[in-house]
Amino acid sequence: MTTKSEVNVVKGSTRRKSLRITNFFKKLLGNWSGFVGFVIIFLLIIISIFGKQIAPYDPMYTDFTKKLLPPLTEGHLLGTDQLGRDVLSRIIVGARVSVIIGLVTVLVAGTFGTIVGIISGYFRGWIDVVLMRIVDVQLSFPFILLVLVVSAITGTGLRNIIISLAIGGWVIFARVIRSEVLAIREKEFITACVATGVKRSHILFKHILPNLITPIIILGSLQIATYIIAEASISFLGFGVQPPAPAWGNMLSEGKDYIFSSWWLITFPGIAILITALGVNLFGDWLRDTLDPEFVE
Amino acid sequence: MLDFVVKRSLQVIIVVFLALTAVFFLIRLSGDPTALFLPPDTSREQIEEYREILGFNRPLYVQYGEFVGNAIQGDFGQSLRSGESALGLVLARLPATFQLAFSALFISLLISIPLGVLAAYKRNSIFDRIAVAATVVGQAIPSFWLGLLLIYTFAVSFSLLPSSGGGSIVHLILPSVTLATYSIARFTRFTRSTMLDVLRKDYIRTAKASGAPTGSLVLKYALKNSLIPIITLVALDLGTLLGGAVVVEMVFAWPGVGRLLLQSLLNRDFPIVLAGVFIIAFIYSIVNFIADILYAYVNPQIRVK
Amino acid sequence: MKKYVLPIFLLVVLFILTACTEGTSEQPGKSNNTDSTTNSSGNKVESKKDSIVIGFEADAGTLIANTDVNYATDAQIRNIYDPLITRDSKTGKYIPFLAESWESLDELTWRITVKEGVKFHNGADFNAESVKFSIDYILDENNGSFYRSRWANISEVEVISPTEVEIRTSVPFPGLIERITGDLLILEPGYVAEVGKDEAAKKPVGTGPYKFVEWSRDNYLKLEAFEEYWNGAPSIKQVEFRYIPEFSSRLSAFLSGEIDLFKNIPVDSVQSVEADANSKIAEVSSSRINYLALNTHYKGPLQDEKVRLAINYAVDVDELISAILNGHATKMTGPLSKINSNYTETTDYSYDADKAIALLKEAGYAPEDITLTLDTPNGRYPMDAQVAQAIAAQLQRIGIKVNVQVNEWGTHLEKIRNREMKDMYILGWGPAFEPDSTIFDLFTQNAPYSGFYDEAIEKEIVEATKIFDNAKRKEAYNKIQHLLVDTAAWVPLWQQGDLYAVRKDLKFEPRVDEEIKVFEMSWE
Repeated sequence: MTTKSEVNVVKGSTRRKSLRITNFFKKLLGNWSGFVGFVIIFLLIIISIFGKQIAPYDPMYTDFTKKLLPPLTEGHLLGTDQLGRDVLSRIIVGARVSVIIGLVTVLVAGTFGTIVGIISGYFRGWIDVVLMRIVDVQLSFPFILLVLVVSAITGTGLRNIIISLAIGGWVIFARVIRSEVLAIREKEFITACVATGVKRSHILFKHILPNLITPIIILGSLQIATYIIAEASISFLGFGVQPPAPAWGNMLSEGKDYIFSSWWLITFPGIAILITALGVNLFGDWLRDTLDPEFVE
Repeated sequence: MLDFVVKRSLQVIIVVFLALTAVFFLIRLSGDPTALFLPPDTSREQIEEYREILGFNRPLYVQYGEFVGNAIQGDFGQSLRSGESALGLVLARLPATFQLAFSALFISLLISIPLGVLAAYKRNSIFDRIAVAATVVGQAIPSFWLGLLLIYTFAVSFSLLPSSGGGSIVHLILPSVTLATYSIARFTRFTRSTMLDVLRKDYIRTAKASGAPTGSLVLKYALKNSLIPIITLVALDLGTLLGGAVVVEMVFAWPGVGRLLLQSLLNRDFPIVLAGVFIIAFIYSIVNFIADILYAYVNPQIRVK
Repeated sequence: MKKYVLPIFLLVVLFILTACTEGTSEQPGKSNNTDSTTNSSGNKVESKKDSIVIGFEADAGTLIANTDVNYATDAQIRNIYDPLITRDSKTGKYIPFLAESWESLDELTWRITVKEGVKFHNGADFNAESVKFSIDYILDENNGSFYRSRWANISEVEVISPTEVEIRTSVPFPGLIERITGDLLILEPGYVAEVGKDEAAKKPVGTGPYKFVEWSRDNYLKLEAFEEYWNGAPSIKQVEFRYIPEFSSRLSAFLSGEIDLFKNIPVDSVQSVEADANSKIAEVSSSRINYLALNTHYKGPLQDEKVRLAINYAVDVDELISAILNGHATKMTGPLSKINSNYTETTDYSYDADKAIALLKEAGYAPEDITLTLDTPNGRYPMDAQVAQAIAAQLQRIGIKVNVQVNEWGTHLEKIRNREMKDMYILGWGPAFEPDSTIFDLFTQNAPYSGFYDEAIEKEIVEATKIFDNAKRKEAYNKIQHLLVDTAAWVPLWQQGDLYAVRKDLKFEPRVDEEIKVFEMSWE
């Protein structure tokens, strides 16, 4: 594992292109897949904020006389579930869970992983050895399994699933950021700073941190889809977000028992996950291609 | 090289040990499983008595000490539910998991390498575009959902394949295809980009300029040179494949380690969970170890770090 | 990258389209007859009339008897081992099995006479010694039996003659016969001593109708007919229990002919089975009951009897049964189901919203002021989480706000046992045949499962469990049942309707005690 990150040392941080807001849209418009990814993400965020207003029905409203209606009947575009709740409304409101999971987890895991990566890469020495050993321990366990074990232990619910995902996800940030810091440290201007006696905190905040923003953004955007799919898998297995709260994973979990009679229950939430993951990945790929084509996870 | 191997082996041991320690304490924090195994009409005093027999009433550090002492001798205790050796139960499931993971690996290599090579060779053709688009979609599909759709299509609608269970090649088809999908996408992408890199290299251009037939050129030189990075990636991904097997095992009722681990988590059968974690961490570390040696072998400069 | 967008979208659209069309083309009236279904290994099976494959959600924990308290284990090994006493498959009344008869000599002593001429699979004779060994097996701490807690009152088992055994208890224990029926299966002492309990747990030997063949963990258990079975040779010769945890996979395995029988089909899927030409549904009112517990240990409005009564009026059980369970349940009105011995009719609080609101007012509450928490497991009982959400919706109608909390089963049970539950929770109980275990284990202070406790009622219950005289017992339990209903101890819901998916030409009668006895089945 460590050996892999060492290789990154060869790379510099000079390869990166900076991106300003105006520039950003110009470039985005010039690239279809990035643009489509961006639009999907944008729509998703809108839906997750205004979901309750957009949804045609109350996602929790149960009507037993209308259960398991197929799509396009009685005003239910995507049909109803086993309690007569509108599937479309539940998917719309459920978007919030996926967006929150994706964003908050990447924030928590990213922040923690970045701090560890900086400490490890900047100070080196014994603390680096200890931290990287911890990273190795974690990497000796498949991500999804780790999240599963941790969420089985911490219990269900949105907060706990974010904690589990963050526990599973911070290491990749720590590893990548560490190698970036190592690379930057070796740069001449930093060596010059140290030689001329510039304060450590100054070097850290003025020179190293700004150079980390790009890799953090790229890595973060590439990780979000992993978190969203992982949450859906965990919820599907019964350890994640619990019903009656609508979330795509638990909708699939509830719907799987109706696979024979009501195909729409397992179809649409899955498509929602697919499109979301696709959008995030397209955008992430574009960000990487634009900002730093040689970026290695 | 020997020095490197010894050092890495030591690291594997430390890593597995620390992983077990972490899981031991985490799982003990999740509560006491005793009552779950007893009939519902058990009185509190009787639950207490069982806790004593099972050793859950002792201080945590004593339990941990005992666990470590036994684990070193390969004893992970008995399943709380059945009283059988926990490690034995996990090991008995290992062949099934390997079978699933390796057949998925086989399928993905069989598809992704020719696909990636061809896509790179016919760069920007319709074929290439579709291949790349497929890999993007393939990486975004949740495997459990794909499993459900495959069950629906092949087992329910057309009754072509059995939906679940283990035992025969026929049973293996749907789960291994499900598990392979993500790897196919990932390997194809990687093969394609590696091939493109190699094809851009000078010696290929020279050969091309001197009039060598392009088809054999691709196979003879480019693929040969791309193979090593591909193998490395595959070795690194084998662990992910083993992890992904857990979810797939549940959907298809495949009798492997992942399903056992998940059920034991639900049942709070701690000894099995710990034995399972041990086996997975161990295998995963070994696989990474081999990948690292491979990597070191390919890039001699990293050994001197 | 931009060139790839169009193909990506085509792929997604294609994907969506196939997903949808797959659905609309559902149930093409599969007409595979059982005689020529492809089996698991893909071979044609000429005639499967003497073999059966039964789908189970979980593997057995162990194959040794008297150890694992778990339905999946018990239901399977009861085909290998026999009990001393069994129950009538319809009424639940005791029927002697390996036992000839039993009597209580005094309050502390029971004598059981057992059958002669019964043989174990390995040829050994069954006798009183095997009974003593099997009970001692439970009592021996080293064997790690989870049944031991229920047998703690046994002080000694003595073999009187090869066919007679005496069981002595430390306290008067009228519930012994229920324990023997529910828990005890007979082991072969010589075999267990010879190979050790670990080996015996993998390769079981009993007196039952089926002999052990092969067990592949988490995969299948195969048995074959024991031709010298004392009750006659079984009609079905080969039995396989196959483990398929996901219901949807179980159902698809059933519809594609891989399995012939499985239990617990969700009510909403009954139609899929009935629509299939080779399948049928078998149903029985189970002895297992489902209820809504009103927790009086939690400081909240439910400590007030009037509020509990109001909840009883506000929950419309009939609607829940018809709307959520599609009628597959039998309504209960008191603490016991009609299957229970000593059942008596009690007041039925049928749905009455006005009365509920009036009662709340009497108790000093406006419905809008009350917010309650309702905990439910997910998938443990038929439609449990859906029932909980429907109850919440019903209470909402009179203005009470209810927050539904769905728990994973282990967590749910832990919360109940640790008394961490709040106002209400859903739970099931069973098999419930005798009032001793049901009422005593539910409504006394130390039993957390109903959440209800009343000092005066507890006294009555404790007295009742000690009565040996049948008539007096009945009288005592009648009084208790009325007391529990009058104080609105809980909201009784129903007896579960046990639903089985069955191959059409399989003769199969579902049992009230949930046992799956292949011996009683045959092909037409």
